[in-house]
Amino acid sequence: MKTRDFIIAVAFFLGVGYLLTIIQFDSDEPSFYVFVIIMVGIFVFNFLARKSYSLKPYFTSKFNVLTSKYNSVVSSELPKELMFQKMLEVLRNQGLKVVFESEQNLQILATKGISWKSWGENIYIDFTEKDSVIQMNFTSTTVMGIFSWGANEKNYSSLLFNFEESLTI
Amino acid sequence: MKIIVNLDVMLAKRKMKAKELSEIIGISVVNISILKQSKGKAIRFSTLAAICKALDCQPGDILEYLD
Repeated sequence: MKTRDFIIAVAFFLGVGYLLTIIQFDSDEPSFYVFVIIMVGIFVFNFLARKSYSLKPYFTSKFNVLTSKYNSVVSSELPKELMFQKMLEVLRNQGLKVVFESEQNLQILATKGISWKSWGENIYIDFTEKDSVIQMNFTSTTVMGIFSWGANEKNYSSLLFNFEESLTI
Repeated sequence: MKIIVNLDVMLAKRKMKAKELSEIIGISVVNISILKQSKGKAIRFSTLAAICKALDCQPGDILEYLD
């Protein structure tokens, strides 16, 4: 997965580099402005769209090469509804902002602010039941960034750690 | 071989709701529910003491060892 991301990142930077070379920063060249407007447009759109749970497929799609994703599945003995409430509690205690929660569909969207590593991350959590075992589906994506520089993985490990810790009552 | 939490039994005996207990001892309803279902990883002495005080009972009334 990381090798694929690396290849995509290198290809992206080579492509952008090539594009900028042939455009040669000529202020009369309209394609330069088109490129800049597209990139700024995507950047602004991602920031505006990040709080919408319905746009999860856009951020988590494998075809969206401008975001880095990490997903994992955790099994739990807790009932779905209780697990949902517990995760909300853990996310809030962790200082993450819960921007969307659906008790009916058991879906959560939490956001993390900008850091020096990334432009912020979206954390999507939902619950499914498979063979009477409750599974928590965790996905962390960067809002904009081909690499998360470990931020997605850190979100997962700290959430899991805090969840385990919170079971000591 | 496991420890069973009989918190729901004690709550019923004292005619107290989980929400009421959570307000008295200052822990969330979610945590009370986890305790009631014996799904917690561990229980702090301070939590146990607070529950015993609120329900006027002994730790043995709440925790039971099953072989």
